[in-house]
Amino acid sequence: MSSATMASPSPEKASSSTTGRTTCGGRGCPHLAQQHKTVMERLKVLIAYAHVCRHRQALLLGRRGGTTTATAEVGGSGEGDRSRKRLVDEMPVPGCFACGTAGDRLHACLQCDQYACWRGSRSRRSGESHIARHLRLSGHVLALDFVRLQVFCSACGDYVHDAGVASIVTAARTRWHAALCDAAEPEAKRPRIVATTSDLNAVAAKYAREHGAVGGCAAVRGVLNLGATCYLSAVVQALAHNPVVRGWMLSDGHHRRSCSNPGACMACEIDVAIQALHGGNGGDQVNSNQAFAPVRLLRALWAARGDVAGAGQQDAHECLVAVLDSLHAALATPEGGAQPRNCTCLVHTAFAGVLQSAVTCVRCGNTTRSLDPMLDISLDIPPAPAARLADAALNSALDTKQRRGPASASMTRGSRPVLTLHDCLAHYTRAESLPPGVYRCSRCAAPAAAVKQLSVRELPPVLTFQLKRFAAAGAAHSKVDSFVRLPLNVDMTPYTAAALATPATPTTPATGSAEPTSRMRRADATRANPACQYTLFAVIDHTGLLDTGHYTAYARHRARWFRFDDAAVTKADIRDVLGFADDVAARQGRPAKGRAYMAFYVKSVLDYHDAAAPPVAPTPSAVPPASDDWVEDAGVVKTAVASGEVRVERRGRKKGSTNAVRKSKPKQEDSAPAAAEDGELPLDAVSALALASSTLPLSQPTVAIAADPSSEDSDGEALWARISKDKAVDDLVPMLPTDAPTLASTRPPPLFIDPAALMVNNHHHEEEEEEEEDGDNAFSDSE
Amino acid sequence: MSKDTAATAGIREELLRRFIESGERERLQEILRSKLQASGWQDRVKDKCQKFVHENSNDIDKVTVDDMAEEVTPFARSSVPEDIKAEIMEDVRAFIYRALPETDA
Repeated sequence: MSSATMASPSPEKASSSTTGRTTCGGRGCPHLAQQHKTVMERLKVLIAYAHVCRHRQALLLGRRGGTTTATAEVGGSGEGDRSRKRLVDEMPVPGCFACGTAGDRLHACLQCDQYACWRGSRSRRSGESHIARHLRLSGHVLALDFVRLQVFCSACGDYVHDAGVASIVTAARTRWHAALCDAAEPEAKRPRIVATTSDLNAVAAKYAREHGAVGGCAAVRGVLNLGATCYLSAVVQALAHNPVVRGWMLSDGHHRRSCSNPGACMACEIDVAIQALHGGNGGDQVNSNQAFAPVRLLRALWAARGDVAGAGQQDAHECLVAVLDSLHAALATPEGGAQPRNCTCLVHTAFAGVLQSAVTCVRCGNTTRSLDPMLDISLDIPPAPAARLADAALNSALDTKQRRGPASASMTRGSRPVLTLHDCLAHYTRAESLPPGVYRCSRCAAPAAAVKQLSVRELPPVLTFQLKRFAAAGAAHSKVDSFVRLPLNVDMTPYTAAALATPATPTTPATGSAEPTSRMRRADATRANPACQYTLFAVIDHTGLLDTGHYTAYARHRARWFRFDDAAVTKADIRDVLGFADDVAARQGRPAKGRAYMAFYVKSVLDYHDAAAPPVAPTPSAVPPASDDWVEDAGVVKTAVASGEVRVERRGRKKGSTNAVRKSKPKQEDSAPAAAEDGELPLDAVSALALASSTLPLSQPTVAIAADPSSEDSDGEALWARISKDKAVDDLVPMLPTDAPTLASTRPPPLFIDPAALMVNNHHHEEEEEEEEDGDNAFSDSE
Repeated sequence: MSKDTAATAGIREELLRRFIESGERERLQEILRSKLQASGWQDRVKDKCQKFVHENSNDIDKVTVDDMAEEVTPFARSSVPEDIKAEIMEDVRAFIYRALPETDA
């Protein structure tokens, strides 16, 4: 039904294709530009409304526990914040003016108050959608996709991109992210400032390089193998592309001139390595013949850890732990160094989380929790999951219902479950029963059988997984090379202590045909917490055997992936990174080899501490909170921005960089694109400060928002006035400055679709189809 | 269109409205999203979209979002893992049973 309707190009588009498409190609939509101001005003209101509609339940109920059933009435829970609740009550879900539906890709006309759906008349397959008809009849041109927040221009026949719109959308997303985090975890302490991006794309980098006040930086560089040190190469690359470490180091987190550490200082060497890897003289090209030789870094590592010294091959994970240990030793302040939990050094702010081990006595139900700090999570690779066979009858009904093509049938039939990172995590956090006699309950004061469960209590900004491929089974050691699929994005909510503590919702009483696995059940039980979303940025692969093999690394640099094989750097495809070929092979039951050994994830939305605010105690944060030098840096930036003058000392710079290192009196506007670089600009202190300041201009509007939660139930007008007065909206989207004429021409064509969009779309179809099936077959005869 | 069809169409719209307003759709969307994400579906579809853009890079100005949707949707639909589909189906069905207790024939 819906695939045909959705996919068929509307006649509107076809008719306008001759005029519209040629005019808007590459230069933004002229129709939008004509009425930019009024559209912006309207968008500010509509986008806030759209967020409320979209996240009604999340805002209303907060974390969905086991007590609230899935059909809880609106406003039925006493948990939600009052203002949020009022907000949701006062804003009903809009429906299509023509058919009344609230699903079906609802669009809001930007020139009147009509809402209309995309799909329109179901009876005519080639009929135009309701929104297209509305636009045609009323003569209006622009409409907002109410779910995906993209502007559709009927004259251009497509969704159009506009920097101003994008900045509003991103700013709204940033703002609502905070609200959703609060709703998901009301009691949690979080940094108050939120920025939504931790990396910038190639276009923005090009823009910043050409227009920024400071020189650009080279893309990527290999690391020389100094004799079986591929483990070190891989680890260094993973560290250098870690947004948090990179940002901190490039913003003068540790300066080797002022370093007081006697002997070989790991922090200095990492600093040098990161500068070298991100340094060079511009250009995004792969520069593989100028590899970096980590001689001093290796020496520092050997000095710190005598047991890894020597020419032998080492384990990359051990190497990482050793590097992090000595980094911590070099950076830790004397007062914070004693307890790792309170340490504010780079290592612990970036990597340190807290694991919780809960042991529940079977007899009395008493639970003892112990907390352990962790820098990474080492996951066992469980045996291949038992085929989660779904109800065959249901599927065949589905197949006929959807009238799939022959290709689709062959694609999905016979597909086998593939081991994923989620399976490993579920295995890791499974409830494990301890045999009687091992555990002695404190309340019963007697040995008792008990259930032990691990969970993550606090999530770090950078989450590192090690897949335990090197199994020691008795005396015989072997390498487990089963394929483990790494998702690009990981939701850690189901594995957090809070989620595991809430009892799972009982399965739906209706049709309990397919027994969901524990993973599925857990994922269902809790609502995804937006603060627990992670994105992959680096993978370390291991090929070869247990005792002899080779490490390579994949890392993301400016939204592109690269493969680092010691000195050789090649462009990589996400298919290689995630092992699509092996994934397909595994699903078809053919032998598949897993190479991924370590995976590095960074929070999709990094929470930045406001450096000027009083330190928020040891919650994980992206930027080191309130360590002395950090505040100092931030203070410098703040005053610099305020007085419009940056006066900084010159820092070591590469010979090739021709741009001015010192630039006095840069206007704030000038520094804004530079700030967008987010740690990408190396080597001189101006960029370092610009980097540090990138959190600060960002912070201003969001601080106001977070500090004043009551403002969230207004329509945001006052807030927006405030934000736009601060000119900070532009800063929130540093990638696309609004006043960037050249950027407009280099901007990618108005073809931007996020996969989530397709997914949601697909989702609608499925739900509807299911309803039809249950309702009456009469529905489907319309097609 | 018979009278029966019209009546059921009304029920259907009412169901859909309740489905959205109760937040069940939002909840299932979230579940589905996380499941698809974990299964790698999202990455595969994204990859497909990128391929489409690369293939059409010559006349990229003329390609629309709908063109891409048309191209990718069949693959995207067919590659949804069966078990995920079944689970979501079950949840939707359960919602309908709950929402229509008295009219349940």
